Amino acid sequence: MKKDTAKIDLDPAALFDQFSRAVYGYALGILANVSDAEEVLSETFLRICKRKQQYRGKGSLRAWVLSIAHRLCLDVLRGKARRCKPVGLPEQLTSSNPSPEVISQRHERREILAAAIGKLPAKQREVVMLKVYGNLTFRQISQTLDIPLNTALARMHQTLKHLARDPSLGKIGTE
Amino acid sequence: MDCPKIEPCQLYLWGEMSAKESKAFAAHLQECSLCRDEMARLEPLAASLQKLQPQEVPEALAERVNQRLAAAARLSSPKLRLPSPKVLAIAASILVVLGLAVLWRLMLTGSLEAPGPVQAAVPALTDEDYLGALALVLIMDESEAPGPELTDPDEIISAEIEDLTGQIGQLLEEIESELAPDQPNQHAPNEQGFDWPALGKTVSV
Repeated sequence: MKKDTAKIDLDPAALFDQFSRAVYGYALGILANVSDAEEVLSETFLRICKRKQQYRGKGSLRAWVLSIAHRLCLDVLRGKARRCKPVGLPEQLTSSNPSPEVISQRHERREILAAAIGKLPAKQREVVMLKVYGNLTFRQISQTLDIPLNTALARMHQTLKHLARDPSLGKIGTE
Repeated sequence: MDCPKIEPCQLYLWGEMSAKESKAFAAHLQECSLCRDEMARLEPLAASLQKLQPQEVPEALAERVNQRLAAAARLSSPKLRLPSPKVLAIAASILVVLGLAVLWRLMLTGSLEAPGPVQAAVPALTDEDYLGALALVLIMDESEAPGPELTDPDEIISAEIEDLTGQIGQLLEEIESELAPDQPNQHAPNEQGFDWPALGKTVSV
């Protein structure tokens, strides 16, 4: 797992080019709402603009960026006080009338898996999203979520066991 | 029931174990069927998850965010940044002190109350001027021998009081004439100014 080298001289625009996809993917996975995810994406990098001097060079830059996004996602959830919809993909990425020629086996598998992730409890979904979209190590996940390493490992373990029991994922086999 | 050692398997599945740890865990898998079965069940899902890629950020969204970042960067640029409150406070204090110093200097030199052209033409008589005139009257009075020598202390004191009263009265007349220059003044100053010896004349009341 590639680790980011710590950078002291932060350029928010450069950080956006580097981490926007991870932040957007994470926010989308947690909030399951396009407009909320867009707002979190925008606000994350604006906060980096204001707080770039707070990054002391300790730890992963990616983890620091995603920790800001994570807190913003929590703010959105608390503010709206709603349960996340049990969907893994935003509406715009699911085709309402897919044609057999368009849907590839990989795309179908991704959709099924993403939908299954969307049904997970919030705490498990956080770990999975940071792992899959944030590309963080478990140690970085534990720091971002402010939980012990063993807790992060246990939540991922529970996630895989949960997904393994999901009947919709029966098509997913070894590749 | 899971083996107590199964949870670190996540580190193994996601490739985060060190070489030494991986070797040890692999050896454990050889011995533990629980862990071996669990790993066989979870490994395909972990592999599928690892293949998931985050969503692409829509181009319009990326452009909007970049514009907001550029605007934020302009606001925080050094040219637009105001001095810190501390620096502003120090500068204000220096200006206040300088202003007070200039004001004090002006007051000391009397520049603030500098007489105008009309005032300068008329000598300003102060209290000190009048007291000085009275003192001179008393001195000159003593230098003259206007009357017979008195020996009785009571008579001497009475004479002195009478003399002083007359002189004060004359002085007051002088003051009045000074304040009303248009009125005929019998004690108008001569060419040299006030006739100080004239004030010394004893005028019987």
